[in-house]
Amino acid sequence: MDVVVQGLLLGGLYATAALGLSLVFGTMRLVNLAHGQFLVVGAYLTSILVSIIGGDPLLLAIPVALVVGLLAYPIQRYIFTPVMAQGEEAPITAAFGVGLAIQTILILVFSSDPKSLTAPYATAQLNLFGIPINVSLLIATAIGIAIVIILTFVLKRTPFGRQVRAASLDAEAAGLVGIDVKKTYARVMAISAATASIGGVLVAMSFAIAPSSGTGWLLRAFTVVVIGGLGSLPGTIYGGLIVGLVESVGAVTIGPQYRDLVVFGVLVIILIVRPNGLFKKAVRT
Amino acid sequence: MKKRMLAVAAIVATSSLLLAGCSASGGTGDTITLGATLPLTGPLQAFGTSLQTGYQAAIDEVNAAGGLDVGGTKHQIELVVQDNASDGNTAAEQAKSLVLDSGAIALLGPATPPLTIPVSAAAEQLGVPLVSTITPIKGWLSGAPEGGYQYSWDLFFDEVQMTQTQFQAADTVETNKKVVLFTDTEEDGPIQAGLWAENAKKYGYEIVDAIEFPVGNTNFSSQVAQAKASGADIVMAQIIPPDGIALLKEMKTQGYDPQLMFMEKAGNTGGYPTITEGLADGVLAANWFAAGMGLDREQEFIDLYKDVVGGVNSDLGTIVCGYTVAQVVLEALTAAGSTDPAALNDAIGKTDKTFPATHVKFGADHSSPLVVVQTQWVGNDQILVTNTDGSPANPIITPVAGLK
Repeated sequence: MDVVVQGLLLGGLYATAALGLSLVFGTMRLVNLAHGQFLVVGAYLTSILVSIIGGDPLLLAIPVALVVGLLAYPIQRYIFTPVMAQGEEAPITAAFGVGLAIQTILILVFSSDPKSLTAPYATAQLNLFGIPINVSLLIATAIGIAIVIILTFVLKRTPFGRQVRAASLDAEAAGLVGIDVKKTYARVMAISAATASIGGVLVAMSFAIAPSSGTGWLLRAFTVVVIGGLGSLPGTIYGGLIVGLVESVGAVTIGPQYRDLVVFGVLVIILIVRPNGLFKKAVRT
Repeated sequence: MKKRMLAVAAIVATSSLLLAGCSASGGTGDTITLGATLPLTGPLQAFGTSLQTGYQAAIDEVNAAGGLDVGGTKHQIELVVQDNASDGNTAAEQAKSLVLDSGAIALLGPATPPLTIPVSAAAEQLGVPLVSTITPIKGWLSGAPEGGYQYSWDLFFDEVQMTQTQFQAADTVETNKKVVLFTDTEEDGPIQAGLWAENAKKYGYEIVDAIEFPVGNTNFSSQVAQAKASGADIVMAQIIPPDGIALLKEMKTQGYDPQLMFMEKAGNTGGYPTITEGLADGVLAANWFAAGMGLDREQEFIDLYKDVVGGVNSDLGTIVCGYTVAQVVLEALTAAGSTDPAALNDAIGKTDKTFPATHVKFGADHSSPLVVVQTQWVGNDQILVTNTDGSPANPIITPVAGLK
C-alpha cells in the first residue's frame, strides 16, 4: 500500500510538470520541445530569489512563474507562431532549438552543478493511517489539481477561454471573427511556461534539477500527456498518476534498473489499445 | 693590413655566432603546443575547469622562468584547450584536431573513463603521448586495445585500494557491519558493486542489499524504505551528483540516518554539502588530496587554491593532479631533448619522481596509482579520516550529520 500511495503522489508531481505541455498541444497542436527547459528556468530563477531575499521557495515560485511566462510570450509570438504556418515540422524544430539555446545559457550562467531547493516541509513525512506520505509530493499533487481546476474554469467560463477554444478549433475562422489568434497563442504559451516553472520548483524541492535535466523531464511530461490524452488537462492528471504508479510498483516488483522499460512498455500498450490516450482531450470538444 | 682586418672581422663574426649558440640560456626556440580536450561544460564541468587550472599553472610556471629547455633551447609552452561538453565522441574528435590542426605534440587528458578512453584511443591512433588523471585505473584499462596502451598513460587511484580504504574507515567506528549498496548502471557501477561485495567479505562486513538504478533516477522511495528496513548502519553509493541529492532527500524524508554514508562520484563534487543544502554534511568519499596527507608542496597548494575552490576538497585535489600531469609531460620533454613523439613517450615511461600529487612511476600497464585516502565532508572541507597507510586520522563524525 505504501508503494501505491507513494507512486500516486509521485505521479501528481509528474502531472503538474506536464500540464503546460498538454495545454499548448491542445490549443496549438504544437509539441513544445522547450517545455523541459521552462521547468529548469523556473527552478533556477527561484533559487536566485531565495538566495537574495530568502523566503519560502513555493511562495517565491509565483512571481517567478509570472516572469517565466513573460519570457515565453515573445518566444511564441515571434518565433513559434510565424513558423507554424510552414507546416508541422518547422515549429517542432524551432522549439527544439529554443530549448537547446535556453539550456546553453543556463550552463553558461549557472554551470552544470545540480540545484536543490529546500524548505522544512520538503523532507517531511506524514503518517496517515500508518501509511507514510511524502509532504513535498502531496503538495505537488495538490498544486497540480488546483491548476487543472483553475485552468478549466478559465477555459470554460472566461472570454479569454472562449478565444482559446475558438482558436484551437479553427484558427482561421477565429481570426475572421476578430480574435487575435497570435496574441491568444502567445498568452497560452505564457500560461504553459508559468505552470512549467512552478513544476520546476516542485521538482527541485522534491529532488534536484540541473541545466541538463530539461530533456529528461520533457520525456516524462510527454509520456504523461500521451497516456492521459493529448490536450486533456484532467487526462494529464490521470496520466501522471498512472506513470507514477507504474514506476513505483515496477521498481519494487521488477527492479528500479528496469524503470524506463516498464514505463515505456506500458505507454506502447496503451497506445496500441487507445491511440488517442486514455481520456478525451477537454480543450477541443 | 686590409687582409688582416678582414681576417679579424671573420674571426669576430664566427666567434659571436658560436657564443650565441652556446649561451647559458640557449637560443629561444619555437613555441611548443600541448593540447587538452576538457569537459568545461556539462555534468563533468567541475573536473574540467579544475584540470585546466592545474595544467595552466604548471605551464605558466615554466614560461615565467624563461621557457622549457628542450635539447638545449628554451621554448615557451602553449596550452590549447577545447571544450568537449562532457561528451566522449566530441572529446575523441577534438583530440585529433588538437594534434592535426593545432600542432599539439602531446595531449593532457580529460577526466573519467567515458572521456579518457575515447581520447586514449585517438592518441593511440595518432601515435601521440597522452597523460591523464581523474580516471580510475581499472575503468581506464577496460578500454585498452589488445596488447595494451602504447602512448596513453594514467595516474590516478586504483579502485581496489579505494574500496579497501572504505572498509578501513568503517573499522574505526562501531557499527553493526551491515552494508547497503546503491550503484548506478553506468560502466563503473557494476565494477564497484563487485569490488564492494568482494572486500566486504574480507573485512567481515555483510552486504544486506545491493540496489541498482539507472542514471537519472529520482524516485528512491521504495529503495530507501528497503534499506532502512534492513537495519544497515552503512550505506555505500556509486552515484552521480543529481541522483545523489534525490537519494539524500529521500533518506532524510524517511528518517534513515546511517552511521556511515560513502558516496563515490557525487561525494567528490566540490562544495557538495552546499549544493545539497547541507544534506551531504558528514558524507564520506575517497580522495586523493587532503590536508595532512604529507604530499609534496601540500600547504602551498592549499594556500593558493583553497579560496578559489571554496575549501580543501576534491576540486583542489583535481587542480593538483592536473598540475602534476602537466609537469610529468614537461619534464619528459626536457629529458627527451626533442618533441619527437616516440622519444617523448619513452621519456614519460621512464618518469620516476615525486610530484605534488604523488610519486609517479608508471607500470607495465602504463598506470601510476595515486595514494587514496578517505575523507569526510565537514562544511565545505573534506577532512582526512584515514591516513595514506590506512590507519585512522581524524575521528569520523557519526551518524551522517546532514541526515540527522
